[in-house]
Amino acid sequence: MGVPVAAPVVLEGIGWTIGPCDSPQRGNVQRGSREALTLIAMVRRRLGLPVGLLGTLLALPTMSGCAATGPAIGTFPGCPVPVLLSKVNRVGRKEPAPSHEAGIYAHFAARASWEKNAHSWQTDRYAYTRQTVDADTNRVVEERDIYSVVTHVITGERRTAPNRLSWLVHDLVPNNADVTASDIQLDELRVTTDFTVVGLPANSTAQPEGEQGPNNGPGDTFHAEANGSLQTLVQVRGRKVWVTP
Amino acid sequence: MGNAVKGCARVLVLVAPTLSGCVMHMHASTNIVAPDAAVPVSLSETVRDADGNLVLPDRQQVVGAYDETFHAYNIPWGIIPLHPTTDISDSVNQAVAAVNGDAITQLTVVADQCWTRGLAFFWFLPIVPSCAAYQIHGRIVRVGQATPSASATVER
Repeated sequence: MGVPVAAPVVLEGIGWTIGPCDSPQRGNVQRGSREALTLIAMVRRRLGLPVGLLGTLLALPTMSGCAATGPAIGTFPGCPVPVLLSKVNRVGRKEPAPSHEAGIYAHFAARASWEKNAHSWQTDRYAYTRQTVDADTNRVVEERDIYSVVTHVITGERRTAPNRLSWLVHDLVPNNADVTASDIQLDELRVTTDFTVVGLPANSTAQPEGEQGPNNGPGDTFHAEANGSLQTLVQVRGRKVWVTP
Repeated sequence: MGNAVKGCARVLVLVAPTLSGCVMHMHASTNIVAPDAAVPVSLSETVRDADGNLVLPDRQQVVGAYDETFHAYNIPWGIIPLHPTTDISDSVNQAVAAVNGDAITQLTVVADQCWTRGLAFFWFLPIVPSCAAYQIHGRIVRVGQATPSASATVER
């Protein structure tokens, strides 16, 4: 007869629940497979995690899975004057028609952005110790601490108003005289994508592991958290120029 | 000498947190230009004719669409852009010439994520690229006399 295995404990960590990605949501719970999360807990226990490496790794699938494409759109709907990316500024002319600067204050710089942020934290709480027993010798050959694992994710999304770039142009050409005699020349149209995950230092209430056997018990917890952001930008820089009839 | 020190310090600031495992950052960007476009390329609805008069949409006949998708990559860890500038002049000229257009209006730039986000688990490898995907849409128009909108045709 073998050594009795520890009493079964209901674990929270079974099966993946996908769904915390539709923003904005708060307090969603994501559950992972028992074995995978047990492995994570073991690694965390053994290494002590002085840095937020594991937090970073934990946040990666959250961020990459949650970050459904949300584009930033650079457009100038409803602008009364040409907003030119090309040097050619007249239909039917091969060379640019003469134009001159409208002044030092007739410049603008703006961005159209889309941004998604996520804050996730995971808490592992000691549940029980599982023992594997050799059937022939009745000796315990392996012991493994089992943890209940809960991951929380809070996400938020933010984007600029689609007409924001147009409003800037309207500020530069406020009346009919400006509309008749000026263009907007773009000096820069930049597209940028950033994906950042910051893992915060993990902390533990468990004692350091000894030489033999598990040493974690009721009340022992491990905690890791991470912040992530995903951002797309369309940045524009331009100026108003007076056109020569 | 000063620039070299500054460059090394910048690389250190960017790389050290990444290697420590606290920060993962993927960055990609490009600057879109059209210096050699043979026709006006406007992000608004209007252009100017040869006399400098505004050509509003009612004088524009839409003869085609300009649609292009580009990718810009950075390595390592987003520090070095492989495509610091994207020149769309050639594709604009080809698209406009194909339909005998006079200008492009309502140019729209859509910045988006791309496939390299799936490689985020391997961000610590310097060969893993960061990528920005972006689509550019516009209307290819022909400028003429005032044209009733009902007679405008769209060719794709």
